[in-house]
Amino acid sequence: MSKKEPLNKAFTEGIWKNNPVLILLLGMCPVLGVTSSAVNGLGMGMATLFVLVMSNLVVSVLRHIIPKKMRIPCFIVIIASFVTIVEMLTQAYTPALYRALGIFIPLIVVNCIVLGRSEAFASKNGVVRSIADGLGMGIGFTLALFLMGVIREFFGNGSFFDLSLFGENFNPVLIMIMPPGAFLTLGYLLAFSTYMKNRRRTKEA
Amino acid sequence: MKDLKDVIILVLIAVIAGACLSVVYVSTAERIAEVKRMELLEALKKVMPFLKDSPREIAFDFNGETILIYAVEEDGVLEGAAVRMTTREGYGGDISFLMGVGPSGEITGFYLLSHKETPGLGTKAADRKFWGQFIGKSLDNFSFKVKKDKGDVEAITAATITSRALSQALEKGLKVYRKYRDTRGGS
Repeated sequence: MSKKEPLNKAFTEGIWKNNPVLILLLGMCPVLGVTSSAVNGLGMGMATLFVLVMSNLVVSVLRHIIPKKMRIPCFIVIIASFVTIVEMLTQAYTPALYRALGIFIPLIVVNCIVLGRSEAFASKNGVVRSIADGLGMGIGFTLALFLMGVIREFFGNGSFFDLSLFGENFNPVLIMIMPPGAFLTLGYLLAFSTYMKNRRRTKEA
Repeated sequence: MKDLKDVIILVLIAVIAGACLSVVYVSTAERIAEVKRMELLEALKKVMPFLKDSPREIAFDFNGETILIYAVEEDGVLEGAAVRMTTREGYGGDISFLMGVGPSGEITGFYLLSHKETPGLGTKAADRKFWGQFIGKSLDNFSFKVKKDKGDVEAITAATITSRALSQALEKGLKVYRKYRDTRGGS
């Protein structure tokens, strides 16, 4: 990790080239669990984005204080605190958002992409770059979850953002919004992104 | 000694995090309670279209089980009530909901409070498409069983367990209401 990488690279890295879901395969639990509709995917992505940025920020600020041997427990305490704060704040000030996201918010604690970025990036980089990394990774994560949600909702429920596309007589492929559908969708998305990566590589060569 | 220093730092971080959490908790607790009260009133209005003021909350004993009833009275006469039901038979765990009951024991509304059902399947219980079929139904004119069990309830596709649990709980809620109405007598 060279210190002289441009700032925008730390940001764009997470969106496509090192997308947490499609390339790094981190945080699979919410990816598979909550992407049964576009709204769910987007909501979970946004909540994770916020926690990612905040925990990256704090871990980066404290990176010289946190003891090397005990960094993981320190990270977990920081991340869990932010998740709980987010939960209480949304519950108090944006009850509508809380009703939609409520069940997903505590799940962010166990999302290893958050811990992963603290460990791999924020604990070794400056504050501004860590925020950029958190934003990029968060947006990449949100995009992937949103894409999963759109695909699964389209096939499994025949709708887009709860807007029915085919009318009453449409028979949806129910399996797509059930757990197996998550694995199928993820598999095809991974195949697609690997195909794109390989094509780019052969072009460069 | 170096290990001890590490421990102290971890403890310090935990203490600071705890302090931050308690500050946020204290400053939001009142608002959260207020929001919850408003949401409950909002939900009560939804299940009881005839509701004007805030209803009277009663902890009613139903065969040894305490069930919350929100009774609406006009000049001492029972106009209807909302019953807060919780069923353990859900697919993902407990399901809590409010049901409105009109004076003659018919269902006037349904509002899902909390549940852990499968997203996209069992969660459809919150849609009017599902609970709308119960409106106006009472113990006398409806069989609270899914069609698969030879009843009248149109189950949610691929969420029969959820539908079954809710149908059972709705039927029980009507019985709770009936018992409450009978025991209160004229008072």
